[in-house]
Amino acid sequence: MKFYRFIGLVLFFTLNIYAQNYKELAIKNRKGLLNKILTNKEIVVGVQKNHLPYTTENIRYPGIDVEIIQLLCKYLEINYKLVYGNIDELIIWTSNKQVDLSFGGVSTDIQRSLAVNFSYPYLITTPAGILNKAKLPRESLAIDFPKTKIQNIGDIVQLPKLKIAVKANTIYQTLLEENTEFLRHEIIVYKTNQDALDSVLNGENDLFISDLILIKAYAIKNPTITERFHLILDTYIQEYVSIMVPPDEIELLLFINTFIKQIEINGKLKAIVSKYLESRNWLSQ
Amino acid sequence: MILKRLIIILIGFYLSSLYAQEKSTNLLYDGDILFRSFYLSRDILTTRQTKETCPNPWEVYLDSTVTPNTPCKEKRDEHRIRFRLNFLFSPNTFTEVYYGIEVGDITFGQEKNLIGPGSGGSGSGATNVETRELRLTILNKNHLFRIDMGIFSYSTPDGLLLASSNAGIRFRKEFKELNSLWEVVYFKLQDNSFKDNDSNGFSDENFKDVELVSTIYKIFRFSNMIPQFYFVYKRDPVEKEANNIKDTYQYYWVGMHQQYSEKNLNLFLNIVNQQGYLFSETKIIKNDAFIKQYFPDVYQFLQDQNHAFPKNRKKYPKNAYAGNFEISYRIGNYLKLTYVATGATGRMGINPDGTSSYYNKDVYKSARGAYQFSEIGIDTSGGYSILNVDSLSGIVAQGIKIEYQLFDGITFEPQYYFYKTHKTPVIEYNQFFNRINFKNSINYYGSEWNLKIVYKPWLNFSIKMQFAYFNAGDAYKVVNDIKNGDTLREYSIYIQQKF
Repeated sequence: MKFYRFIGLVLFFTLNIYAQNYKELAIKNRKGLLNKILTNKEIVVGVQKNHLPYTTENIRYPGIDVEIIQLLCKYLEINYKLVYGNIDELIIWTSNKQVDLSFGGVSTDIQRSLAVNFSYPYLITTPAGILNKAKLPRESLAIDFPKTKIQNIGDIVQLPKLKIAVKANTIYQTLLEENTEFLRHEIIVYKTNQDALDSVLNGENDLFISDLILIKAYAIKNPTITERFHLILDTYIQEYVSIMVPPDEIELLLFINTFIKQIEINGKLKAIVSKYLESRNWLSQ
Repeated sequence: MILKRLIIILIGFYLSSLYAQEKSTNLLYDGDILFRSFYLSRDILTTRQTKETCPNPWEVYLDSTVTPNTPCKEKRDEHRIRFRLNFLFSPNTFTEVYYGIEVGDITFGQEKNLIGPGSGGSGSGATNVETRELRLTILNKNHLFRIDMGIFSYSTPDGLLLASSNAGIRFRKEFKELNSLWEVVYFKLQDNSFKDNDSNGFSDENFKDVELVSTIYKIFRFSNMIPQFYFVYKRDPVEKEANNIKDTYQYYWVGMHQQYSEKNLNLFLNIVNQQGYLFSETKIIKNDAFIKQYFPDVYQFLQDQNHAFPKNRKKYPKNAYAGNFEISYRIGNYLKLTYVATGATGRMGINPDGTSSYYNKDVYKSARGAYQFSEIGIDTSGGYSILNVDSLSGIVAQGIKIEYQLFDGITFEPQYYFYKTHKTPVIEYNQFFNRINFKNSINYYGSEWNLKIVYKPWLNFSIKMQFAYFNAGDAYKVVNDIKNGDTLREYSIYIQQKF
């Protein structure tokens, strides 16, 4: 009997069968922004507008970021209000506490972290690419012949001189310009990711580099990309996509970290990400 | 007790899954699983007819006692599955260890081959699990060089000259100032199991001794043009295989590949010249076939005369060319038009004097290439295959491919190929397809119509359906001395998941 009692205890603690409501204690003892959010029952969150697949204009599939925010609100039993801006605006608003949190698919960065705090990553991404198939090595087309692998961005050293399109002022531009192994290639900078992608789709450039999540979303949105182009999707270096928390709000930061761990463990985060990166349903209105 | 243990194990798994770590970036893996299914039918032989002619199809149709599958005619299906798994270990910045393992092809549903060799490859066969790649790489990204040692696959452009798994060493260095890359390989072993003729299963001797040196020089100076120059030397020193005397050779190839891309236009040109010597104990007797058939005593006398002297090898020189050309143009997002052509010098079949054209100076032989041109005509992919890169000599093939994306994720690709012999094949020594039967020799070798439908419902997963139909021309019938039959059909489905 002792054994089964022990099993019962393990299940009690690990599966959280009897979850308790500690909200009242939090309102009483927590300070700062977390207390304000719980008291007002509303959170103001900054996101980038229509930044696929993080935010969309589809009501049923609002995007990875919005679904995570909805999940957070469900746990806290509060409402949310979205504020739209670009990355720089989101950082400024978060730093000035004009918003409570910011998402936006922002990678952790040492300069940015001077202005805001970054949570644990809710997504791990990598530089990925869309490559014109004509630039792949001309090898035997026999199906049994193992082809040269161009799977991560580092593998492009095996390719001839490429015209690479990237968005300006991104870590990808820095990566390509400062790394000796990419010096052979010509880097062409565009204002937006869409412009850079279009230049490759039109045949002006050979390779478009951006983050993995974005590349996958483009490929899912536009199936001609998978037909016409070779996708480079494997990890080259890891990038962490995190939630931005205002400075001096350690309690909120710790809570957000716990929230991310929680949705990782219970599989809800994986379910949200899979919905956008492995199916096309979110594209239908 | 058992229940207690089971619960403890399950809880252990559960807790360990909570604390499971992410896959380390020091170890990467990838691979694919490929399922292939073929339905094949033909009413014509794929090899030269020697003893008796295939029956007239109408006579067979009227005679119900004839078995459905004979060397002359068959209808069959076969299925294969293969799994490939590659591991890449990166213990530090300068070293990589790569290991690729392959399970299969495991073939099932295949009848015993009626013609040609058929061995291995099923269930518990010796080739169920194979090491396909095993290499140690030393690299320095700042100095732009890498050295690979071990077993790895290697291909010259388009696989027209060389495309196989080999054991040896490769050195690759990029010269930034010259905008070029230089690669040298030295191989001591070459994989012999790569299927160049379909339906011949696996070779018992997977890797065989060779001496092979290859070097490629690529120029990257121009963004829309990539010139490549390559040279291959191969010597096969093995004189005997399974106690049978074997020809040896020492060949050199020089090749040039030119690629030009301009927005929606892509152009590829590849030309290879072969030089060197073939050493054989076979002595060519002029009008060999004619004398053998009509004057067997004289033929025997000439053979005895050859055997009267100690065995020595005759040197047959080589000076042959092979090449391929491709031009493609994309119209919008959904349509791509491609014209392809290939050919090699030499003669198909036998020489006008009745001797084998195998020893001719202009007959092209590769260093174990794997050139894929179409689905039946010049093919290395499975199902039927009439020609491969080593039997390309004497043929001129052209094709048109239209790639059209009709729906999201579904591509249709109709293709048409036309095959012609470079020199008119010799009909004079044929037993069946000959002038006595009112047949003449022409250059038209055959036509092929294919339809390929590719469906990619999600990333890294594809379903490919292929319908291929080959109609043999008179040149095919002359070369193979076939009186009856016309067509080969290959319907196949490929389902592949990469990961």
